[in-house]
Amino acid sequence: MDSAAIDLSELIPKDLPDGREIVADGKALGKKVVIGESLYCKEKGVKSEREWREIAREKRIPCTCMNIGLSNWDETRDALENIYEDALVRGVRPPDRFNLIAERRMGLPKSSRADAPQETGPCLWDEKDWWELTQTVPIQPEAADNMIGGPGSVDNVLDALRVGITCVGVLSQYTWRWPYWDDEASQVIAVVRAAAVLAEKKKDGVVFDSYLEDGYPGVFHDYASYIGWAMLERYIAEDLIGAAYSSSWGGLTQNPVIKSAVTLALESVNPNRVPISFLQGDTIGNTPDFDANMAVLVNDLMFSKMTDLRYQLGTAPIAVPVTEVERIPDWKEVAQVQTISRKCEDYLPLIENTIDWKQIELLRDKLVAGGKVFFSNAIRIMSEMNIDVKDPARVLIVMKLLGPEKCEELFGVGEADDNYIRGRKPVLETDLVKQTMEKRATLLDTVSKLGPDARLENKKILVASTDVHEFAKFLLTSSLEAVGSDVIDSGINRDPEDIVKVALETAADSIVITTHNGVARTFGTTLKEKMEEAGVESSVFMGGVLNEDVEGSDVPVDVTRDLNALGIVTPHSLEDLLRALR
Amino acid sequence: VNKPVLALTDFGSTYTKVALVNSTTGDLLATAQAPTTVHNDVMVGYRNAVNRACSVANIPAAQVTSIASSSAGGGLSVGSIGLVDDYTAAAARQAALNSGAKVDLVISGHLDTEKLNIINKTNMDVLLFSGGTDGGHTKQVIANAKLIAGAIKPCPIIIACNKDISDVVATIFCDTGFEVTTTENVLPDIDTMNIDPARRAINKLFIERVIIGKGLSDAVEFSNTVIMPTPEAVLVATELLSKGTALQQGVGDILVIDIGGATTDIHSSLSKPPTRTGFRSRGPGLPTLMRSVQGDLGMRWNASSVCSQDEVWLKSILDLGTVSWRQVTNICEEWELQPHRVLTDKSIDSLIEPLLAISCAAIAIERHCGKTSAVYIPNQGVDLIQDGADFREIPLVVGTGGILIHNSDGTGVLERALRRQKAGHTLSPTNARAQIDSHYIMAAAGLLSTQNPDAALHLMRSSLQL
Repeated sequence: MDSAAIDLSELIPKDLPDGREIVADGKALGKKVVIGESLYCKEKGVKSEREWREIAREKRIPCTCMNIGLSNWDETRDALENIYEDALVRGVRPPDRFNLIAERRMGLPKSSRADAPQETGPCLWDEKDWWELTQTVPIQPEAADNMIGGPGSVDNVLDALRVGITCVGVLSQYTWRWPYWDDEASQVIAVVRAAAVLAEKKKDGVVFDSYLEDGYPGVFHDYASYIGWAMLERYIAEDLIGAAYSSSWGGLTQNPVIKSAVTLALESVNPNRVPISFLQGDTIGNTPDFDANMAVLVNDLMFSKMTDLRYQLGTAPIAVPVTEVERIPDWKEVAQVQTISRKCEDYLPLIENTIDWKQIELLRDKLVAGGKVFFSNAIRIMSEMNIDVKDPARVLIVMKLLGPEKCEELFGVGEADDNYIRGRKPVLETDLVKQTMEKRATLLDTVSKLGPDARLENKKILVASTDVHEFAKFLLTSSLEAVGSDVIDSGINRDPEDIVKVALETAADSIVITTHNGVARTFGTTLKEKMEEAGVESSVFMGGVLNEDVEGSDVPVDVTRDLNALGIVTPHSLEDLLRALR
Repeated sequence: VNKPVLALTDFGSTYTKVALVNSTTGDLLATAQAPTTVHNDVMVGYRNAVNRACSVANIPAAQVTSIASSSAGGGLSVGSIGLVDDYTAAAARQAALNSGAKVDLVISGHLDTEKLNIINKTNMDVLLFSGGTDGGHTKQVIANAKLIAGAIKPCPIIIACNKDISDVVATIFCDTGFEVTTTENVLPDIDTMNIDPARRAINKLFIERVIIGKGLSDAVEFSNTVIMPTPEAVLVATELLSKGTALQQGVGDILVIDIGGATTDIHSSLSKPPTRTGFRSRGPGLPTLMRSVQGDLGMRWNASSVCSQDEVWLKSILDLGTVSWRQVTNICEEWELQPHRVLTDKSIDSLIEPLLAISCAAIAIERHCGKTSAVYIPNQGVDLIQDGADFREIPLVVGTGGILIHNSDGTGVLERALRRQKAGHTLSPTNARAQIDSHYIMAAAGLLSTQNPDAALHLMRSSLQL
């Protein structure tokens, strides 16, 4: 009902071929690939990691996972050797698997990698590097970050399979942008083609992994939307492309009870029972106090492991090094938490039966119900918007174009409620939102206690955002209201012309602009021009990310000085802004 | 004391229409019409119509009291002035439209000589002056007031601007001889239109200017009888039919279309629009009750304009073997020259007339309804924009006005207009039922509602079979 009358097919790049043809092409390519054998699979006597996971879940053998990616491949390889040796020395089972956190350049086609700017992380340059991934120690790698998602997806999939990697990700990263790559069509073609190669090898136990928080769920407000999103990804990966899909997730959730419920909900919408490749450990509960992070680690691990074994998921929880919040962990820091993870396993049987799993299952069922509505909303609404929902390339690109806010607003399931930023009361608020709302409450509390000279009564302040991000504007309007000012909320995604019209009618004293989309200078310049033309004399403040893309620079450049030269004030913090507004 | 039988009268440009009703129950007793006698005294035509109705109903004319609406003599011409086009000027325009006036001019911004000349030339009955939200802009609004006062020959003016300066503005106009009415701001805050006070002020002036000023009749009876412009009566009836009274439920969201000789008017009433998550709208929120006038869509004076605007569809639907396109355009030109020409069933005119009506209805509905659009912003996502109101879910469209009432298949004409393939982005009705106001009682019911809303609702429900 909210969606008809919009034709999104017009936004799809004209050069995007039919997704079904891309799939056929990718499957043909997959037929030519011979899958190698990793040390791990050899040791377990299986053909694929999935085969072992199915045995492990049957026999309730806990598996573990780690993220690893030091500054280059040689260092990463040495770290793997050290971690493996360390486990043997300590007498714990070594980790079962690792996610290779490769450098971003790996997302580009092989031919473009050398010319792209170097960043930190391992880049695999030749066959030897790839070979060492599976043959250094018997720990099974997943070709994870920057492998599938970018324009280089097909190159990576072929290399990964050849050396015996049977789990490749990360589907959700198709929403990312790679440096010097603005061709949406070719990027999505690469992702679908790579996924079709994996589909061709499904019978050999090959899995196409995702990590939900790397895509839109990472900024969703409702866990029900997570489930719905995973269903959408599964629909594309399994129903439309034919691969075996896994919805790994977990890094942005602190509450272990909620996390267990979401994990179980994801399993409930996994009809083919593809083992969830990994459960990321909590990263938002960590602080610079490394000792305190131990508590975050252990609680997270205990619940993830209990859920895994009790419900026979066959997944592999990641133990997050307590130092990761501050730096890329060295091998010792990874080995430390891997040991803790294994030691936790001894306590599981002592605790498991005292947990009220019924409560967690009720929460799971609520999320599954919501997720199913999200999914059916998405399919229905995209069809109404004239999208061929049987074409994986079109469905992927249109979800990417919509962006996370719009996806959740359009497909979301909570009851309509204007008190929530996305217009709905979430079925289950994400920890991210909860944290941000708590921050807001603290901020408002501080602001409301400010002395009488900090009050902005009788000040008429227009607030607008240049982009679709609602949260910064939400914080601004609520704090400005808290100090008594008369806020004119001009909305998100505003053009300078819109803002000037409103400022003129209302005679706003000040205009406060929040911007995060790399257009600060152009926006500021146009705004001042239009104000001049219309005779609007309000003072202008801008905050957020004050940069702009310029020719010849890959990263946007800071334009604060240009803005100041235009007479625009650029406060560094909310306190600064409140002071300047006086 | 009101007599129980009311003659609800509409002084139209061509015909004076009378509906005799029981003012207590709303039962329709008779209807009749007679040519409007603009060049003589309109009361002559009125008496002809009333006498005809009374003889049908077998009631002595002396037992009947009358209330009337009028659109004779061209109605009331209003010029709307605001500060910003999308804001106060848009609100002032909608206030004038909802009052049933003809909006001959909408102007905003700094009033330079060119704009002042346009105001001077347009020769309006009334100016509606707005600008600034309450507590908002003052300087340019005052400057505009001074410019108009200094350059325009005095006329009645309604001040509906920023309340902080409405006294100042009123004084400026009073001092130069304007007849000033001050009312509430049409846009008190940037998100909300408040058009009803201005609408009422325009109505009051309408009675004084059109009824007394245009010399349609010397009879006191006439000036005592006419209480509102006809389009206003239809809008009042539309709202009543949609929302109901304290005692009776209304029929819900509706759209009433009136295809006339010169214009096509649409009146619509929506319950409060639901929060549409995911969409962003531009400008202030629209009122739930809205009238729009399409000045280029009419069956006679604008026949050629309709024909050229809808040429592609008309050509696709006409059997160009039986009738050539040239014949069609010729007929339209003849209609413009001889608007009162009577059609004969055999003539080719009667083949073309319903098609032209479909064109008028389809285009007018598309313009009245909102539109959506999607804009992709790189690295940001899609922005979904809604301009105007959403009529997709409304259950009922009522057709009124000569062509729909007198055509043997008015319902068919309206249905075909509604079923026409619409542009993808239009929020026009998708599944509405078409109903014809075959007894022409919408305006009459609007008049009756001023005395007895329940009777008026009954009149509409029974006559429209709702």
